[in-house]
Amino acid sequence: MVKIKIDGLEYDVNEKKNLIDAAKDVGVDIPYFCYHPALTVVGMCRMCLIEIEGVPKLQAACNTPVKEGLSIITQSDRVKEGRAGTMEFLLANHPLDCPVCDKAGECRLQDNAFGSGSGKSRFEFEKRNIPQEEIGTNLIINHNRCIVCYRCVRFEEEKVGESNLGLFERGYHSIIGLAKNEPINHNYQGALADICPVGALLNHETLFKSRVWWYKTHDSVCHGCSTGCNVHANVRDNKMYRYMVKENFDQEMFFLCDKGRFDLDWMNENRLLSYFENGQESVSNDVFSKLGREWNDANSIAILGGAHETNESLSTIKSLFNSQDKIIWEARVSDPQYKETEQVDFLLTKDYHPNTRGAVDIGITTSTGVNGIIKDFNSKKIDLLFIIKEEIPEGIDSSRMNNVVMMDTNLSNKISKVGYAVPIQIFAEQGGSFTNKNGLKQEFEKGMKPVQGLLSSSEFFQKILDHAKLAKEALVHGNN
Amino acid sequence: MATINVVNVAKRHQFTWYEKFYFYSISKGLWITLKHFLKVAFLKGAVTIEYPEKKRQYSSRFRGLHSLKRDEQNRERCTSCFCCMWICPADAIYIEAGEVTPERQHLHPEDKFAKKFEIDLLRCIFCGLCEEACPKGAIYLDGSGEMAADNRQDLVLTKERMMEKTGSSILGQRN
Repeated sequence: MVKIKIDGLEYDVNEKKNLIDAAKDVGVDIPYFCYHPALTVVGMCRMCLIEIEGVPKLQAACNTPVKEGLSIITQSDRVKEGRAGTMEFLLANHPLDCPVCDKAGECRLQDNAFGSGSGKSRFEFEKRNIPQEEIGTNLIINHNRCIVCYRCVRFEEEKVGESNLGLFERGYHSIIGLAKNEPINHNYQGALADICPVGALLNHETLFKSRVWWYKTHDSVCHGCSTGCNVHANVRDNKMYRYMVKENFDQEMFFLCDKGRFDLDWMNENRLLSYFENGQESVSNDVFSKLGREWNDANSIAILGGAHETNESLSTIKSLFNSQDKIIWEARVSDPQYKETEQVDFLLTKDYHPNTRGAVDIGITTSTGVNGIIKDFNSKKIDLLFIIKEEIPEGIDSSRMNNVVMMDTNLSNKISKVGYAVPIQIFAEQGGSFTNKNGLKQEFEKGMKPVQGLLSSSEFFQKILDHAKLAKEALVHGNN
Repeated sequence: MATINVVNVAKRHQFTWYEKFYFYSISKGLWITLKHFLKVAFLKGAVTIEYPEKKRQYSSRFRGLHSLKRDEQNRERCTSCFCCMWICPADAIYIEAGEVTPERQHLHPEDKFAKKFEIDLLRCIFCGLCEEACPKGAIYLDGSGEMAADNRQDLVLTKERMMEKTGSSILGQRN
């Protein structure tokens, strides 16, 4: 920690941080466009102008190292005039089409124009007009809105490791374009649109779907893989619309891959909301009483999966089974879950389960693994098999399918194959925590309201146990 | 202190001799009827109009049926920004946005347009907030007040029913 002076007041700040972030920590906001905490500093937008004591001209805050005794002024008339001038230049060619732009509402240009702009423009010529282009499989660029902050180019080069995007021409003619002849098709097109401080880069998939101010935001954790990136889940009318990055400085989480960001439709559409028996729609009461009897009759019961469930849900279920010794439970169903974490790229891992580590930490493992369970199930050592939101593992005999109970959130052709299919809540309808690949336990909020009567997996097991108990009592009374 | 203007109501009104003569009061009443008849029949002094055939000029501030406007180049003003849908206190407006393709670019000034624009008249309370919220001057409640229908479908205004055929430079008629 070092002592610096901002606007005449002395603060203790972290010298490892950029001046903009250090000032933000103590409550002084410096407006910026091109600066990003995880990317290199270029000082291209000239928005973060400040006065430094002893330096005659205005300086860019992002480019100023934090050191002991630094004294800066962020609110003087000179600084304000400089920022208003920058703002006027940036808006000279900006189309001001906020009603159409998807970024409106979370746009830095809007924020800074209100905060530092002068409110009027002296630019009286015709604005530059370059037609919109498709530059990726899920990415369009609107050159008119671009303020040439270089964020997208830096992100691609430094984080993704590709350099397809580039800045061409100079000065007034500067334009962001593709260096290669092929469109962008990597896993970070959503992140490119997200880090764009204006509405120049936009995703096809979310284009014109909604407006920013309609969303209710909940702190959440991405469900896509075992990395567990922090996100803001945007919900509107009880539908999950999008994930936005929630910056986490401690864990250095600033980005989100497309795999997690755009894999949301399953939460809203095609949900499994009724009970199925042998592929036919049934009633919950029938299914529960049958399952209760089968539970009693079974000598050994196996459960597969659970790495999509929250820690809280897993430990509740585990405590339910404390008195039952005929149950074995294996949470790991795919190969990557058994191995050390393997990265696909700098965020995405090969394990597409958000809570493998949490399940392992709670102790939901077996010595023989999933293959042992399948073998025992085929040879009728295990009588009943529950699968929690997983694919049906390969190698199960088709004659044994009648004894499989599939707990799932979405409709699929799996339902007709198994004996029973029961609907359960998704993680966003419960709230709780996931433990990521590094063992970091991260809480998230309940974002969506489940359909009335839809059970969570722990409630489902509780109900089966209740029915099993009832069936046993009825049997005892019947014998007497 | 003496009381002034006191009418003694305890005493019944005394009719004069001509009031007692019944025909006087009858002809006084008939004269009023005859006067109005002469005024309407010969002097065209009626205050009512024959409504469905003849109509009065509405006030320029009257809020009636909604209409969507076009600009000078006959392009739709609405860019589907959802501001009216957002402000609507009765939740009467439903919009579905679409991307403008090059084939229909001549119909729209921007690259976003309303694929669907529906106003449920059964929900609308004609408060005029959509007019106020619209940044493009695309929607105005400047139509008539006649909107009776015998089924629900006819009471949902579609884009086709609201969209003006010709454009103008005037942003609506409110003042």
